Parts: sequence; structure tokens; C-alpha cells
Amino acid sequence: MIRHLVRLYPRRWRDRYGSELDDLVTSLLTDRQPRRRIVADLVRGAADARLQTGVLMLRSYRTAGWVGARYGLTVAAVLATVIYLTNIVFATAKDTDGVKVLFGWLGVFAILGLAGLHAARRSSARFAPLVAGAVAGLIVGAAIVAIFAVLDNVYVDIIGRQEQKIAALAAAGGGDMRTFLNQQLVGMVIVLIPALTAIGAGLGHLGGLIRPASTASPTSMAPGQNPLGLPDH
Amino acid sequence: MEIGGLGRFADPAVLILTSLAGGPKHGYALILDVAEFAEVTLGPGTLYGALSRLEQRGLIEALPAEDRRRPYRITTDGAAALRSYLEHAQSVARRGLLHLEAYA
Repeated sequence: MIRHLVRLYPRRWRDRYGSELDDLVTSLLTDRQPRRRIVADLVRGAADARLQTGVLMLRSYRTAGWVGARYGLTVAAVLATVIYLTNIVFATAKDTDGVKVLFGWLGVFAILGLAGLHAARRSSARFAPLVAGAVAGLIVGAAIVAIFAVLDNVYVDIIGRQEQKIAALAAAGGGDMRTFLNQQLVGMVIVLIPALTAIGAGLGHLGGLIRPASTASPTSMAPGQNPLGLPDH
Repeated sequence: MEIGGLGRFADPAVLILTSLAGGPKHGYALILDVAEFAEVTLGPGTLYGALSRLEQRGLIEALPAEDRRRPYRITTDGAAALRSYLEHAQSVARRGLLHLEAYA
């Protein structure tokens, strides 16, 4: 019965130490050590191992979040520059950069996947790549909305000359261009940010699948490796 | 690397490192050895809580398992950490004994 208490420990911890601990408990029981003391110590040890696992897990996800934030902010800085240059400095009335925009999005998606890959290399917590990708996607989405919110309002006279915008405003029944652009921004907040967060999570997860196999499985953990499988150092 | 930061496992960690400084041992042998030289009986949960932390910090390392028992040995970092801790404890003990002789 006492030996079953080993099951109270977290699975990864058991995978590494469970067999040894079970053997030790068997030896102590054979040695007629006080059962009550062994039970109390095992329960306390299991609670501590679970707490330690939780703390390391939180640290791991925080690390993943920072990885995602760095990728997201880098992409945001690049996007801010590119969007400013193409929409304001080298503004044209016709929308002729459709292919470039497509490749731009593909680049952003690749970077969201890279965030997941990087997070997987920093931590083997199961959902770390997903978290990193989601955070990167969230920041990119929020940055795009913020960039257009600034440009649409500060440079409304330049943005308002785009044929596509003029046609869209006319299709919407006309009115003030600034109000129309801000209404579009509300739509971007509702759709773009959650969509990029979800896409980032998915691509981050996929990127994480590319990580080296040596850190993937807690059951293949060798002696000396982090028993919780969360190498954040 | 210091022994600090191990919370309630600091004292068991010192006892374990002290025992392993005398040669590699598995869990049960560690408990017997510590009980002999320190008159402290480590529970199984406490022992493995401390062992996992020491291994995580690179102060001890696991040797190949013998049946279901896996011996551990102290690493160079572990020996340095133990030496530093014991020298500090020795200095504090020396000062404490001097004070006791002078005033108590």
C-alpha cells in the first residue's frame, strides 16, 4: 500500500526516480522503519515535487512568452518600417504590391514558426512552442492595428488617395474617410488580432515539432538530465 | 555553485554531499550512512527531494543503475560547494566556541 504512494509524484519525476524510490521504500519497510513516518515523508515529498514541477512549468512558459515577445516585437518593428515606407513615403494611388504583401505574410508566418522552434529549444514544456507562437502572433496583430491606427489618422490625406480606399468608402455609402478608416480598424481588432494569435499558436506548435528529439521524451531522459524535463538554463 | 536556494532540502543536501564525499552510494546506503555519522534518519521523500535538486544543480551525478538501485557520486562542483559550506560552518563554529569560552 505504501509503495503506491510513489504514484503521488508527478509523472516525469516518477519516470526518472520512481523505480529507485520504490526500491528504497521496500528496503525501509523490510528494515522495519516506522510506516507512519515513511508515509508522511512520501506525501510531503510528493507535494514538494508537484510544487517544484508547477514552479518550473511557470518559469518555462514565461521563458516561452519572452521568446515569442522578442520575435513579435522584431516583426512589428520591421512591419512598421515597411508599412510606413510603402503607404506614406512611396505612396501610390494604385494597389500594385499584392505579391509583395503575400510574401510578407508568408515571411511573418515563417517567423511565427521560428518562435515556436526557438521556444522548444529553450524549454521542453509541452505547450511552450504554442505559447511562444501565440504571443508573437498577438504582438504582430496588435502592432499592425496600432501602425495603421497611427498612419490612417496622422496621414489620412495620403492614405485617402488610395483608389482601393476610395472605392471601399463609396461602396460603404460614402462619408468621412477618417471615420471609415477607423471603422475598418475596429474590424481589424476583432478579426486580425485573434486570428494572428491563433495562427501563431498553430505555427509555433508546428515549429516546435522540429526540435531535436533528445529533449522530446521524458521517458528517454538520461541520468543527469533535469528530472522535470524543463531545461530553462 | 552554492548549496543555498534548496529551502528545506539544504540540510539534507549537506548530509548527502558529506556522505557522497566518502564514495558513491545508492539511496538506501545513503540513509544508513547519514544515520550513522549524523544521527539523522532521512525519509525517502526527503532524500529523493534533495537528490533531485542536487542532480539538477550538477552537484551530484547518477551512475549506471545496479538492478533497481542507482548509485550517485559527488561532482567536482559538488565537492567545491561542500568544501565552501563546511569551511564557512567551521569558521562560524570556531567563533561560537570562542564566545562561549569567553562569556558563557
